[in-house]
Amino acid sequence: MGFYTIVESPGLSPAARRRARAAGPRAVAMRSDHRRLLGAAGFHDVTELDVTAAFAVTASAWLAETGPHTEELARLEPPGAFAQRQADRRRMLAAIHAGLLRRVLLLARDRRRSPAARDRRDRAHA
Amino acid sequence: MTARDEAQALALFQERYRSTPSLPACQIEQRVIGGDWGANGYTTMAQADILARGLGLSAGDRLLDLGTGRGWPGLYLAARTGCRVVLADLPLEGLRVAANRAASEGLTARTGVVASAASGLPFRAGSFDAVIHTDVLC
Repeated sequence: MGFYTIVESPGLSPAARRRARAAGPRAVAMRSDHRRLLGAAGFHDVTELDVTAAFAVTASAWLAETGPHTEELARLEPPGAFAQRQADRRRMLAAIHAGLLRRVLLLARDRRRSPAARDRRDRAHA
Repeated sequence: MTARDEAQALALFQERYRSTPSLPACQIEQRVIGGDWGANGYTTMAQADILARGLGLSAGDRLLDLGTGRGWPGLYLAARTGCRVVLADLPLEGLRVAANRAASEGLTARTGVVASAASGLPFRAGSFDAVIHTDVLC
């Protein structure tokens, strides 16, 4: 299992957490952390790679690149959708720069898939 | 996420995937994430490669891409690693684009598309070697 997701930074004050949750996507507000959920679902060897710096670059690039084409891009979407996304991106970028939000890659193994099963699969692919 | 949230998100993405990305939109996506998948998230091509390496994806592996939209990054990973991929999402409009892209890239034999929410997948446990989702919880 592998996925990229956005999470609130650890160790935030209650006020900062509220700001992070307001600025981030809905999933930022989830009560359980991903490691605990992965463990409960039978995954182990959870590895987390912080990609927040790249997240800031990408979020900033979306804003910078789409800005000059606002009218044209907005026409291709439902009314208000483009403007809403731009506003969300601005708010999220500010939260990244304020240290409130992180983006991570989480990788985990399914403990129900035994090494033997993996070997069998590898041999089948050989 | 409430049922109402899900319905709103579905309607938004159906509308979005119904239209073909304009040339400027494709050029912007190319500059921002390095691809041309009609995506607007934060997963770059380089990060998709990191994901593939982290999962050890290789030819013949069975990969499930949840919330695939128009096929990013599942189709890319299938092309890149030789794995088989099932692309799952709810908006049929995006899955149609993904299926067409699979055909144009000669990936049809290794690609399946399934209209399903992640919460109700029609697969038995152990059907896949790897499961991914990118920018879905965002």
